[in-house]
Amino acid sequence: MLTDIQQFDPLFALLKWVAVVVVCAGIAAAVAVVISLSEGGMTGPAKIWSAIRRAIGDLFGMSLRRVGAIAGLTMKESIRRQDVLVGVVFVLLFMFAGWFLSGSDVDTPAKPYISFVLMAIRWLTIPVALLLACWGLPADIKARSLHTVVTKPVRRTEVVLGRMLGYSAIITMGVALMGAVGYVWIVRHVPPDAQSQLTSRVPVYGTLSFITRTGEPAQHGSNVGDMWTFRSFIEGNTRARAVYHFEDLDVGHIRSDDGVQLEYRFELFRSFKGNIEQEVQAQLALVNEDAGLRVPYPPVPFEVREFADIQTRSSREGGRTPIVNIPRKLTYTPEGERESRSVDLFDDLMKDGKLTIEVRCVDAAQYLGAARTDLFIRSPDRPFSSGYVKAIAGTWMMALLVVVLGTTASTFVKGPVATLLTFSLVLTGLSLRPFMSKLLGEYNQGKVIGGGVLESAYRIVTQMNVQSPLPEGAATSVIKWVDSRVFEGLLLLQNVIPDFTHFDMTPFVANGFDVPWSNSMMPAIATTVAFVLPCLILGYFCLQWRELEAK
Amino acid sequence: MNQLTTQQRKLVYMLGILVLLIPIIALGMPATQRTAPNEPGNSGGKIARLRHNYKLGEATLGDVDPASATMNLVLLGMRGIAGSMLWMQADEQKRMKNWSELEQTVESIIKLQPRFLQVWKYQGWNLAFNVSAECDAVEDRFFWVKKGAKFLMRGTGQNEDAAELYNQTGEFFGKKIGRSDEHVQFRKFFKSDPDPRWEGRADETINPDNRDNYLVAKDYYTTANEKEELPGVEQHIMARSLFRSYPGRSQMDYAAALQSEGEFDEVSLEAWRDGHQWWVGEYGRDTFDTPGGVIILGATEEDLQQLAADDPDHDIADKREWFDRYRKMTNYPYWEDRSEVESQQSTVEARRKLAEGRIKFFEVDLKPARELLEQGLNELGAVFTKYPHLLQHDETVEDVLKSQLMWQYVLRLFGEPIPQDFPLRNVWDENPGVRADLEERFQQKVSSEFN
Repeated sequence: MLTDIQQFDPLFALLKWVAVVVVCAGIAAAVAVVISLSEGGMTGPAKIWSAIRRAIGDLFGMSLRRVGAIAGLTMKESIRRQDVLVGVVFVLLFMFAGWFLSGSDVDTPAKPYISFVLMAIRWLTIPVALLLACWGLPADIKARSLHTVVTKPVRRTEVVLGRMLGYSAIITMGVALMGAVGYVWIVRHVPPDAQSQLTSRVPVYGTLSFITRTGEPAQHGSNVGDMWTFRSFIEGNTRARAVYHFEDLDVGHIRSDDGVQLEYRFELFRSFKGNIEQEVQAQLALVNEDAGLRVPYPPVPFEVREFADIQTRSSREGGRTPIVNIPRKLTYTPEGERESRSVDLFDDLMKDGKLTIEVRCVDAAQYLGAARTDLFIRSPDRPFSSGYVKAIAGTWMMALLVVVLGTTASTFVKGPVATLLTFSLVLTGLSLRPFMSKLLGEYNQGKVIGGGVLESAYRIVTQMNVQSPLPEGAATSVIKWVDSRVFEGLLLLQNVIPDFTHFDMTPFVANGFDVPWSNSMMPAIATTVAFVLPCLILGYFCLQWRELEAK
Repeated sequence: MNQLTTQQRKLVYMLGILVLLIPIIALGMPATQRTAPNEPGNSGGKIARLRHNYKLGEATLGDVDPASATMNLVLLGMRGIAGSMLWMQADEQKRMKNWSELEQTVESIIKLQPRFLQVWKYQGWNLAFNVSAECDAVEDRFFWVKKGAKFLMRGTGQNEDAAELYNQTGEFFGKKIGRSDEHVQFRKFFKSDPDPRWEGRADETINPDNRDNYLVAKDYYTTANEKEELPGVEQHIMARSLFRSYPGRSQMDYAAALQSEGEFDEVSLEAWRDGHQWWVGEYGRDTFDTPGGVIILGATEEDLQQLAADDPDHDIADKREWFDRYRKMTNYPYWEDRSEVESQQSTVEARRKLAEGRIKFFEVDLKPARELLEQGLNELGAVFTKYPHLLQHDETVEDVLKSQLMWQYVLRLFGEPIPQDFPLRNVWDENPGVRADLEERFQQKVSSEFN
């Protein structure tokens, strides 16, 4: 089940990246100038400028041949150190995974199997990438084998980049191998009844709004007391509707058997028992407001079949996903008229690529819950491998990022510390980034009670509770201004920690969806690429200034 | 020691190792594999024997799941943390209605804590009651009830002597399937599963012999009682006198369910007879420790005298007092008389007439409906004259009142006055509250059926 679909804006992301890089570079330059002034007096800044010029030269004067040679040596060294033996753990895990996944239970859907494989590959790749990247350079420094390299006409940028590429090549081979084994394992182990769930659906989502029971437009429906507020509910047999608006539809892309296929996954809430042998019913209406068309479809209300896609074969339908196939030619009788009319789905209802679908609950005093992702137009499916390969690519990109971070860390600290630092970054990026974003977002929305740093300090000192407003005056304005700037700075600087959640595409694949390029693959690619150049530069300077004799 | 050569020192060490090995082997040698569930391993070191005696070994508790053992080993000392995280994950998945992943998380939890009975009870309940209630289709609800029951069945396999788990499994099959809002459908599905895989038969994993849910429940309750008798086994979910009554109650529930579904043949009669026989012959002869010493629920005055004579610490007054208290607590006399009454052909006949009268009523075949209802009430009245205290029970009161309401409705349709004295008039007069409620429901049903 997909709960949210975030849109990715490449231009905004690029601007944010530039801003973060500029701010970080500015801070680094300022710190360097201060240190150089204190260490070397007035000649310090000149030395910094000279180092920057050399760095630019090293960056743009890199030789692909030398980088390739270092990458090749890095690969050989990794294979000799038997770092790739972690693959044995992978094989063992898959040999016995069936025990833990109740493999004999034919009721088990495909989801846990897919989740398990993708999670196993992810968590086995991270330690390999960490060990490879964080221990290589420090080991060379310790064994003084790096001396033989740096005394050759090799630029430090080439050393850092070569290392990154070498480790990345090893990781690529490992992920490809694990991905292939994982694919075969999934296909072999998923119970026959759940094999149909191994697919890559291609959804086209709209936006959702509501109409209340009295016919007023609203952003949300009724709350039936569910703690999980993901869905809003509409009351049956009233004017309440869940309204899905689709825009910029490409008929060629969504056409399925000369019609359109809709898939839904609504939830139901009964306010009284009613007829328990009959499920609560719903009906759709295809609407074109401009043309004044409102076509109920299907002509007869249908049973909602709540959670039907989860149970593999519990009931009448045997766990098939609820689908509504809308043919191109539709016949209906408009309200208040006796004559039936025919309309063309593509020419009449979907003019200008727009379509509105209203959902109503038929049964009185029963409720239907809808969320944005609960109804979508289902374009022709792609094979399961399509989504799976993309999810593996996500893991691969994550591993590359770990290699980049680990190699960079190993240029300025020893192996264990580099490992700890990189692992902390990975953990923070995986678990704390969403929390940080939520916290900072809440401040922007004015939801953080008690204010920012200065306001909190003021309240503590004056023993003022968090509810009372600060006294009016210049001091309060200054406090609020400073707090806002601090939060804005944090909002920007949180991007220094890579958001590893972009790489987890498991929810898509495990739920039988293809991984979308626009809002899943692109953020992952952008996150990986965004860190390569800054890390290369940072690694270069650190290796440049590192005392290689210090073991 | 310092004067010894290296070789001599090594020899001394070797000797020391051998000497120490003797007590290690004597204490720690593992027991041989047991041949039967309750068969002790007849060899092994002292520790192995103690482990068996105090039921501390994995194998003495029930089946050992290799996956579970591996997981616990792999986690080293982190089992508690992993378990807590999985519980939180399960709660989150339940909140987000992510049932398939919830089920897998629960699987992982039991792999970590296979001997923790609360896990089996809580998560089994979660699947069968909470998750099933979230589904709208009755078939889906039944699917999750089965999941919960299967889960508990596995729990009993891994905790062979856990009387509580057997009892809870019995409750799933008995009460969840037999008494929930969907009991009509659930009881049907239990014998003819809606899952197309079973082709109209019962799900063999829970009901291999295609039996009634109450009889399957009775088997589990009986096993629970057998386990409860084993030395060192205790149950902590209810008073022992109630715990042991469940097989008999389940047998009587089965008989009552057959009749409520319109079966008034030899099968239902036999079911009541079996229930009575078990209640009086098995449960009624069971001994219970009370503050007044040992008592027997089905004891006669002579039995009580004998029990008092055999018990130097308590006299006959103590025995009588605790005998009465326990009989009230377990409702023993009611079920004794009820099962006896229901085992009689005349009662079955009276109930059959009432049931058929109701069917005729809703078929709008009013004349035979009136006759059958009148006859049924008269015959039931005759039965209850001998057992007036049975008329205190809600189920019987409801049954009688429903028939009386229907009979009076028919009389009014025929334009006849309601006689002052009609069969079981005392039930009518003594239960005005229940009557008003039933009357309202009856009116609703009549208007929905006939309008």
